[in-house]
Amino acid sequence: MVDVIIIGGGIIGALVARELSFYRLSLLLLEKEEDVAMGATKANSAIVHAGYDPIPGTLKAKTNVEGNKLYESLCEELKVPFERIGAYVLAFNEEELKILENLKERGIKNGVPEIYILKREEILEKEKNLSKNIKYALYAPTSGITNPFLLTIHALENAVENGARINLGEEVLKIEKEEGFYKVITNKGEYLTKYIINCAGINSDRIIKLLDPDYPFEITPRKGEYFVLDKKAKGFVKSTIFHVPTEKGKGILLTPTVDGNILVGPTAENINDREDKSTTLSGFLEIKKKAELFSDKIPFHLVINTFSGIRASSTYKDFFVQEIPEFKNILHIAGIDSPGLTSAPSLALMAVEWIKNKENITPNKRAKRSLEKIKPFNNLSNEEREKLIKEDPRWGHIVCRCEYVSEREIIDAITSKIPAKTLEAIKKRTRAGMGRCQGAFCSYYIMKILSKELNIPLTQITYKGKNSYMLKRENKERWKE
Amino acid sequence: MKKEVDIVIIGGGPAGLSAGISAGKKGKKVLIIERNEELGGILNQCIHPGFGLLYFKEELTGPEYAQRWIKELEKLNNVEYLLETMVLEVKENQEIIATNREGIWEIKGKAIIFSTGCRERTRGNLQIPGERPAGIYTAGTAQRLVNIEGYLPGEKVLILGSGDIGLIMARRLLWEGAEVIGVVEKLPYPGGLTRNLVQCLEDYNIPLYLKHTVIEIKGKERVEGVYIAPVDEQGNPILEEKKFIECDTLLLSVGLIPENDLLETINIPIDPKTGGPYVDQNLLTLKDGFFVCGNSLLVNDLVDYVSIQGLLAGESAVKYIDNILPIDKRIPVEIENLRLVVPQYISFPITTEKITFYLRIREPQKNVKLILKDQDKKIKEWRYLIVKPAEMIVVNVDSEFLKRIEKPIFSLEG
Repeated sequence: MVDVIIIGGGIIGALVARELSFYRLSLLLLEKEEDVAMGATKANSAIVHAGYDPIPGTLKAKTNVEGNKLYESLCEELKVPFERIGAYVLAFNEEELKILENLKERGIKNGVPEIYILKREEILEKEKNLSKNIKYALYAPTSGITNPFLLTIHALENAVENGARINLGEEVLKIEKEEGFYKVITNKGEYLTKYIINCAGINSDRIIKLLDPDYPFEITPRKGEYFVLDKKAKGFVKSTIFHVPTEKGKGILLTPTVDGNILVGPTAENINDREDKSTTLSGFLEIKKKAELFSDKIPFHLVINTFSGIRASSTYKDFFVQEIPEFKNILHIAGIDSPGLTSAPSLALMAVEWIKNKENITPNKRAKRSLEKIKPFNNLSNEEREKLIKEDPRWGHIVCRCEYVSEREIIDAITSKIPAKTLEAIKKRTRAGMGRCQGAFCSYYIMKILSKELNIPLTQITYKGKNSYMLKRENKERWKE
Repeated sequence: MKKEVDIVIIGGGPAGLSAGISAGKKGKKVLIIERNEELGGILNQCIHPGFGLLYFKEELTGPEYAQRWIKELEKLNNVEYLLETMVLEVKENQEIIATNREGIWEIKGKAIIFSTGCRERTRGNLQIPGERPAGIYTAGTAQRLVNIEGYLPGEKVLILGSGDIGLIMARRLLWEGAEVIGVVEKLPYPGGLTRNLVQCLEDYNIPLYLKHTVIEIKGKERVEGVYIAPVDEQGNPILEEKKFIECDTLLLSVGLIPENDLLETINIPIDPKTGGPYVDQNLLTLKDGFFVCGNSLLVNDLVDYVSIQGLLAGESAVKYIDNILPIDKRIPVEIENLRLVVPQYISFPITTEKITFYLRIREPQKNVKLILKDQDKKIKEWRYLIVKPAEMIVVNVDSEFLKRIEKPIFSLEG
């Protein structure tokens, strides 16, 4: 019997697990994929929104502004990059100015600490590459950027250090109500638990339907496609740039990432297949066309990658953070679309309050809030590098040549508290393969390291789990040592 | 760790090797920095023959060709090399920061030669839509897996792009028992050398689909197939005519990008036409003391040219250190009806007996003249029965003809 089962290892599940790990509770997180941060957490804009966008009074508004304030300490504790680079919402005419004024008013109501409307000259002074056709912009200096998958992974490593258990590749198939507890049945086993927290993202409605097939809550998946530009484009914009929002959402944005790339996207397409993470020609054309409004100088020749992510939008419109009356002690944190990443720390605290309202929980005195992590090789000074290489020569051997990732960092990712078992898992933890050659040089080195550390043949190495094998077989007449 | 040498060479592939040899033979203290575990660069995975016909007048495999130069290099006690060593930073004062298992190196040189080669264009560069399964490889990565690691990346393969590595890999994968469905090329003419088209595709009945491209990749976990479509005159895919091709692997052989990222950090200007830095006939970049050769200068189609450029860069770097490479003036070399030229500048006085020019054209043409003019005055003329984009035009011009030139123009005329 465990106290709490958390379903889903995305940013919400991770921060919930971490917050609960500060109390004396036995925790089990179940993630159906081979790694954590596999859904919307893996593929989004990575923006920590200021909070002028959600409608006042909604849960989105409340958790957005609260979440934003929590980001500094959260990222500092978990050794994750976070920068308050500010955001501009551009208006090109007087009508759009009215929308800005509305947003500003919303922002003030929502409690956004600083928010201004600027005129063209003031904007162009700071963002020289933007179109001269801009008339006004809403400027929110508290908007920021982070690394969502690193935040998820580090939060869970912290939770594991504090005693939480994480089971990967384990999918919840059935939940049975027993006398005062629940039985959770997965593809691998059965667990008894007092509480369940549903953080299943795009599949959060499916968890609800396991309890009550007729419950009126549906995820309406919405796909967003993006371009990633080479680090050579660094500085093209210094803040996040939006156009005025429409009913479909915040529209296309142009933003720096914490790693020095530039992101352009996303589209917003309602889709039926919630696993459909494909990019499309029409999506690419749409991004280019809409982004042209911001600037006709966007260096699309520096595109190094494209990707798409699925937002877990729902029929409920606001975040659905509720217990269904017939199924007490199960909290659903569902329908978390934008600003989900920003709201996540605040939603995690709500989960703690929810349990506190049910029973007295005592703090786990041995729990740590901070994670010990050495900075990536790429961000170290030469003195720091020299010192580390003297301790372990593998720090000096660079495996990923584009992002300067050392052999030691790859091994650390494989042997960490949430072990990386696939190429993609290593990429998320270390950035190896995320640079301009997209793994053309380093993937076989990483495969060899994985094979050695996991003690499995190279032919068993996958890109992202399941059937995504990198190699088919050995050569016909293989040279043997 | 600190080290001081005369010349630092970044990259120990064919260009770096020959640069090291030519500088070493002149008695200079040379250090080659190589990031791989052995010298020879990409040649080590090119186990097919066809190397050295021009330089050694015999046909060698890649590793054999590399070994010839490595042996030569090993004879020179004043040429050292560091393996599995990565350059992290190049400074304007010819200082280099590098790392390996021994620690961080601070290396001071009097001249630096970049021989950093190329990387392959990726799916991301091409912006091919679709899902993101395993089984999408650049041709060079696949070549490494098969020829060095001994593994077959796929059993049913479609190749996008008719570059030389793709053609070579079509045959190599077929020999290993894979089914090679075909080679898809967006342009109306192939990208690789004629001999590779014949020996790798025609001899094995592997179809080449010209004016086609891959428009979508399918497969959630491993590649399950791709959609290909013909392209119109502007190169846009005709989506209505798309066709599904079942395969487990997509190989990309869609071009090489000279790797000059380090050199760009010290603001050495890059020629957008070649992807390499602007150089003069001494292969000196527009920054004093920094030379470049091989595929990071321009994508060559024969390794022999790479070696020749390396020899020249080595000699030039020695002259530079010995203060016998004075530059009084530098004039640009212009081109008409051509895609690129290297060198892009002529520096005066000219200290070599001849200057080798490398040129590429845009589209295949027959019965053409290449003319070197000074303004309007014809200086030299070469005739060709056929010219192809895949095959570089290489011409040597005696310095005698260039000494007083004021406005050099290469022009391709029908």
